[in-house]
Amino acid sequence: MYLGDFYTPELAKEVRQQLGLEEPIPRQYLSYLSGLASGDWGRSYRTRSQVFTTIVGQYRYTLELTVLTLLVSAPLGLVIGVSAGVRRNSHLDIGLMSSSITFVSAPSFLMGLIILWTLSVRMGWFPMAGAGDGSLGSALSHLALPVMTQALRSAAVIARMARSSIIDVMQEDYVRTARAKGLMERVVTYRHALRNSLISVITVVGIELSILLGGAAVTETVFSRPGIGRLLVQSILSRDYPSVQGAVLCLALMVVATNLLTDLMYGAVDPRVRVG
Amino acid sequence: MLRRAKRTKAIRIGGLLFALALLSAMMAPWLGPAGPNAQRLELEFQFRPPGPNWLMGTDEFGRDVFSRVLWGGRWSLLVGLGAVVVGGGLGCAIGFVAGYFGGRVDRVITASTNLLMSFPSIMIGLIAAAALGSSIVSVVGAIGLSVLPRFVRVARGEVLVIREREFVMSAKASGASDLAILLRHIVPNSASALIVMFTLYFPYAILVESSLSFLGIGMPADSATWGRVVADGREYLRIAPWLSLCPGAVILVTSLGLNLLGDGLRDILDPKVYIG
Repeated sequence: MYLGDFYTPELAKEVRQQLGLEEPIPRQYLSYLSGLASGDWGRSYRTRSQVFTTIVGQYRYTLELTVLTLLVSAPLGLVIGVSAGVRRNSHLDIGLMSSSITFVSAPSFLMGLIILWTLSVRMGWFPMAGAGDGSLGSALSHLALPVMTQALRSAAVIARMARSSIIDVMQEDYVRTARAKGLMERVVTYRHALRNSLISVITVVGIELSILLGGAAVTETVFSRPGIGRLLVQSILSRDYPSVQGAVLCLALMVVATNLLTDLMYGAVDPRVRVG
Repeated sequence: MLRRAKRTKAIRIGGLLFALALLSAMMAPWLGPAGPNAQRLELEFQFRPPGPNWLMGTDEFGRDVFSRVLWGGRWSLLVGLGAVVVGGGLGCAIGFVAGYFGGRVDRVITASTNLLMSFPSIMIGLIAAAALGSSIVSVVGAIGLSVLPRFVRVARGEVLVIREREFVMSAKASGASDLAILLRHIVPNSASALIVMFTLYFPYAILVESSLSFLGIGMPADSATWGRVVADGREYLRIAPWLSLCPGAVILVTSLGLNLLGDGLRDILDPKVYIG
């Protein structure tokens, strides 16, 4: 693969020696680890460039997409879930929940293709592919469709959780007490119930954030957007193992950071949770 | 009552949608007008829009998309089912052992489950499929591995509760072996929770499989699964949108049906299982 048409057994052996593939596996792993620490993540078999440089250049696209999606989907999902939950079994509730289960069931590449086809191919409102030329306006217009694709599904998941959580909370004793005190229904919902249902919503938002990072592979491929997910897929397809390792490592670091952030958020919402 | 009536309706609709998908995949050789790969390269058979002769149109090789979807369903449903049965079955077994015996075994299993759980399953599937190479067995294994930790967690939780019940005590007192207690008492009593898990993760496995084959990873190139059919049509989104959108809609209907079914079953059998 690496040599292409120039393949001969002797040359292959020489290349293996150069790449360090003749060394015993534990030794290879140790030297990979020590390389990681000093910013040497190996060289791509495909482009022969430093994996670290490629990743530094690409990760911000994935981060942009994920963070922006969550900024849209978390408030949206919360509002939908709460308004469905407080009017349980109403027409609004049934309508919102039926559409949310549809969005949860839809494969994200289908959502992407439908959005791409209607808003870009038919209407021509948004560009079809890429990430723009660097200006803010073009970056945003390239982000709009991928963000929409991911946010619809993610908002649906968050809405379902928010709904069941607010329904649970509304049956708690303190909500009954608040009502008995003669507080307005609006105050009960927003001051007492909403705040207490946020804990489980934050859990889902945290899970969603890491699912979005994984799903970036699909979304970035559909919209031909640069990013770690697409880098991972392309590297797997071309058996470019140093790049696969680099992309996986980068995604894993992001997921770990996400989990840490979620734990810290608990402390912000619920004063009983102490970080330490 | 109202709630219950609504749920049985969800189960009925869901069951119907899924039965439709299952039956049409099973009947592919009789229902499909052509084989999955039958080509008709004459110009008048290429890129025909959906119509009475071609329910879902034809592609660039004059292949009938409807037949491809029917045949693809066999792969997609089979792989999805295989993955939940393998991953779920193994996960349950591990969870039962961890919960029943407790101690060091439990600690090791719980720690590794938490580690696996903290990564999105599509990412685990992607990496595992890449590492195992492309074959049906490796895709089933990869998706199975990604759902496994979720089953471990639920099965373990069930055992922890059931273990303390009186009938387990009395079985122990009358000298039943651990294996007999597990098989006779614990498995049947946790069945309802696990059935719900299987129903809710089956569509999930189908979605992961179709995402993987959409990206071109995992399944061998000659097997036309749903995801692959969508991916094949993607290039022609501009001139022949039905190539991707029709098979995509079939995936959506199947997974929607299963999700409705699982949701309904959950509310009736076991309201405490949450899908994360």
